[in-house]
Amino acid sequence: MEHHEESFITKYIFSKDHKTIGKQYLITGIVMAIFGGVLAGLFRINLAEPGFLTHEQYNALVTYHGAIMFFWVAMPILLGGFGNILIPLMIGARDMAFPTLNMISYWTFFLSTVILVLSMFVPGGGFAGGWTIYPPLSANPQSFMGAQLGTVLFLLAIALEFASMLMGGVNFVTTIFVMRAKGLSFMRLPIFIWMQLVASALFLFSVTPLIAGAIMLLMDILLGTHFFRVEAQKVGDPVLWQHLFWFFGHPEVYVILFPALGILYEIFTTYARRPVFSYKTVVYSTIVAGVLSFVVWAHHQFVAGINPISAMAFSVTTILISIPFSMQLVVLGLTLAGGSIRFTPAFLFGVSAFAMFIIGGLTGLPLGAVAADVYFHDTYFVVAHFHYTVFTIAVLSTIAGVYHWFPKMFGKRINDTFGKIHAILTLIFYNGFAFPAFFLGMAGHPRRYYTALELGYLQKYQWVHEIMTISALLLIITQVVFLFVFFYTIFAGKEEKEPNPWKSTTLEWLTPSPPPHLNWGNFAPIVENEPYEYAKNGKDQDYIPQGRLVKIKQKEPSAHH
Amino acid sequence: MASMQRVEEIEKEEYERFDVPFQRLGFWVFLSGEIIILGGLVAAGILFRLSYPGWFESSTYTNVVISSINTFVLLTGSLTAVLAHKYAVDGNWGKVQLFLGLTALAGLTFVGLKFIEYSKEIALGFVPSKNVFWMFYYGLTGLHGAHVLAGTLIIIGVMLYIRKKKLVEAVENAGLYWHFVDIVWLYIFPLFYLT
Amino acid sequence: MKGGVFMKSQVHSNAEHKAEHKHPPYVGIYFVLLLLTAASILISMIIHKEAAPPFVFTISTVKGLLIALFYMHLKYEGRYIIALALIPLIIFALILFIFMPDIIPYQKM
Repeated sequence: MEHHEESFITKYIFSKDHKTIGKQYLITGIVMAIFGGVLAGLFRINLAEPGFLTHEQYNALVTYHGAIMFFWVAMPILLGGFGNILIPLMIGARDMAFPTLNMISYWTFFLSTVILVLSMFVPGGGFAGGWTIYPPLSANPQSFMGAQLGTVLFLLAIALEFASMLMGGVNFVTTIFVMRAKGLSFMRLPIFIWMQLVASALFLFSVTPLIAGAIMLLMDILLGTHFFRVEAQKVGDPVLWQHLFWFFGHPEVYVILFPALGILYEIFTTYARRPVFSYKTVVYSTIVAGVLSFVVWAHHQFVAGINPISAMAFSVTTILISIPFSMQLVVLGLTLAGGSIRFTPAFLFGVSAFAMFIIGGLTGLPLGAVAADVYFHDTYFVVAHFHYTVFTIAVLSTIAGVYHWFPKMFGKRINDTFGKIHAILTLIFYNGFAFPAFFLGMAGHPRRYYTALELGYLQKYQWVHEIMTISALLLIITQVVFLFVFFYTIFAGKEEKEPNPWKSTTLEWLTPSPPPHLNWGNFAPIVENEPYEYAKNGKDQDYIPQGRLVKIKQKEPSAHH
Repeated sequence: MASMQRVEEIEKEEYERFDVPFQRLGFWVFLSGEIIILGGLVAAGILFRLSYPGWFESSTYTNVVISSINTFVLLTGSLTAVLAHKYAVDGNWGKVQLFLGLTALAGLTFVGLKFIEYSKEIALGFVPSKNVFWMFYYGLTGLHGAHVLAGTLIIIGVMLYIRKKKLVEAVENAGLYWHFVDIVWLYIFPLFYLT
Repeated sequence: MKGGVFMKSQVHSNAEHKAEHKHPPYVGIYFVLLLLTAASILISMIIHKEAAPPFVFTISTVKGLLIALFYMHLKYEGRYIIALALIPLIIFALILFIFMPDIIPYQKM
């Protein structure tokens, strides 16, 4: 079938195959997730036993934990990993529109990962100004222990990561528009694809102003300009950075949320054996939420001294954006209604993500209202809130996705019993560390503090920190075991010969697992149905696949023109 | 395989019909993002300018002669780039190489003149940290200059590429990038030199 | 490599492109652009610098439109490409006007 022999290097390392690139992203992301988790474990130990780390180390670890979990875990796994593997398979394409660009995208990302890890160990220490990189801490090299080199490398790593994800975004949008299989109109796209499309567009249009901001910040650090620094007799405005950062930062939250929700839709429909409750509601509310996400950013700055009128306006848009997301969660919930649910590991992770996300969403409301946010801002309440949203997105949903698509990706299957135990333990330990933080926040515990013991009114809550630390450490240990099982299964796990083990409808389940190079061999998919035709009374199956494979008469499409 | 039971032989076009060629769509998606990278800096510049009175005095020290020549150079590069595309559509690939070469030359001229300009200004003590005008001047023209250089490299890359593969879209995209950089200059020129 | 994953539908768009064959008057537009540039330089020399911006930026916009419409072929593009060209401008306006109340008062303090 293949016209050319692929060496080890072109097949596994500098590969242009979207599936290999996706797996590279996925594995890099999972390894970074463990790394970021271990960092969190270290500073959590310090919170339980103050003195374990120095103040500088503590600040740096908090910074790197945040940045890694956003930019080196959630983005590469959800967009780079699942996006790359699933977009061509789900729309019936043979590869991405620009395979070479795709390869460059991954290796740019890899380079950024290396630079990020190196930046922690340069003389003077890594960057320690928080993952939001606020000036004046970031723009003034003197503001903390001579970390100029660390700061520059950190910014460079983030810039390369953005460049890599931008290349990916261009690829995703083009591929989804141009390379849909015959019969796959836009209103038949699987919801996961819609989510990837909207997420890529959001990223593309939100990150670019921040690139301008990053250039200004680098000039501040290296050339002594004062875009963001305030010095005597010189203008300069730190709030400008906050605007530019959150203009990106808030859509970024939805950039990672949308693919995670997409995974949940695929999983809920498959394992509940139900069509999605209202396909059009999901599509339109996703688009509305995407557009609205560009006008909510200043709710991160209510206490930064922004104009009170615009604070009011942003409060309104922030409450407004909860409407499309409420609609999505209702649709997700109603999709389960009347289903015959299969409690597989993927479903357990999916449903816990769903439940946890509701907690995260509801606790966002007091933070979106100006009056309440003035009290809650920069307390552990915020920490709890975004761990209930982002942890849900970046960990629970992605692990659900890994269990769901693992057979397709590797042709192996992770042990079901292990998966169920994994899901339950993860849920327990996760709540063990995240839920008490709500109460710490309500008690007025500020976030990012080295220890609570120096604040008199918080000393009596030290035991809460201890519970949180123990839960966090157990959570990390659980995930390390999962990482081991993940790799063990890839190399020595049980074979899964059946191409469609979960009896799912979308196109990727038509091709053998793992799919061959160029995905469909001598066949090509054509689409004849809506994406989620479950609960149909057939003779031997309760679902109708979205399409079928037809043999193509033309010469076998090959890598050579 | 159960799902492949109903296999039949058909002659088929592989994908849903979509009217825009994928290279052009992809490039415009990229360009769409690029516009705001410069747009973000321009917006910040406008905001600082509206609130900072010293802009006009500082802008009398920039070099109108060199920048006018540079405007001419960029516009000429745009013309040759678009003519290259025209000849590519008509299939006259020898002319394409010639006109792309002229565009690349324009790019190098622009960057060279820009360096002469910078060195003169720095010699006079106008460094980026001097005041608001100069920090935006260096930020924006520097970023723009980097784009011109990138555009030149893209054009040289396309010149090498089309020797092997006659792809109209490659010539078109290189030209699109050049025109975009040109349009940005049309605003930078009055912003820092004329007003 | 690229060509391989695409089949007919993409390839013949090239052929359609060729069939147009009627090109806009590129050289004529170039001379208009040069004239407009000369005009804006002249204006900035005659009028006081603080009064010049409305004139020179209007001329820049005309020039930018000429390049975008004819050299970048936006006049002949479909709705997807037009949308891609317009979205950044909307975002630019968004940034400018929403940042404005927060940045400017600080500078005047």
